[in-house]
Amino acid sequence: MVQYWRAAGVSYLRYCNLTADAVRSALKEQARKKTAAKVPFSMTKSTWEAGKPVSRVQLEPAGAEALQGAK
Amino acid sequence: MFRQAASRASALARQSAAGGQRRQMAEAVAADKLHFNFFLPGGTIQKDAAVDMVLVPASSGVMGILPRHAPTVAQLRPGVVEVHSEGTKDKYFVSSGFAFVHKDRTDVCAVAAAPLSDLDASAVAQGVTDAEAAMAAAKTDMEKAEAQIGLDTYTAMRSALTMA
Repeated sequence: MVQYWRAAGVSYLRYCNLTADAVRSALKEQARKKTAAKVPFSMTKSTWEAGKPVSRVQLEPAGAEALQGAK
Repeated sequence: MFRQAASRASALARQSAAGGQRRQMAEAVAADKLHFNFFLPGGTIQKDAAVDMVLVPASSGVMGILPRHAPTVAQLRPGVVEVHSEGTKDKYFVSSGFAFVHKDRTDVCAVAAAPLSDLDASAVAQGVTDAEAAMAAAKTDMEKAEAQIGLDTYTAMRSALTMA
């Protein structure tokens, strides 16, 4: 018995994150402030050349947007 | 002489403590109560609580867990986890996760959870409207599925609030 989102190609990881984003977006202001501090993670992407970092890009801390690639 | 007695006493204490730990793997609660844990990635809602019953929104339907429930694993869908304890019912909306019923304890592990009082009714109504619009605008199967996921979550929150 396959769930509809699995059949459409959505992974469980993405399903979890979408539902969690929906719940977090529906929280009242105070509760949202408490969770907002815990949720975002930030990633820095740096390309290296000849043993030295050439560029450093700060990836946006976010929920679903940052995990777009993890489908 | 006293040093020998003290070391013997401490050895006995260590033995009984170790024996006690070997006999019970988890902190036991009274036999007629459910040993309940409720975990989130960022914190704990309940730990080693002795409750009467827990209702979880499994993907196959609402499931009630009483003490001595058969071991099982249930995948959760967006819905309400109700913790019944001594006449009080604590209700939390969970986004997704798993409920693990072990022989001696029950763990509910949710990705995101909030007491119903923390949900904003107008934000939920707005979310339902936005999700319906996304459903109408979706073209590919995956877009439709993702819109459906959002719609399911928001409608579950809406019914949780109206039934509270």
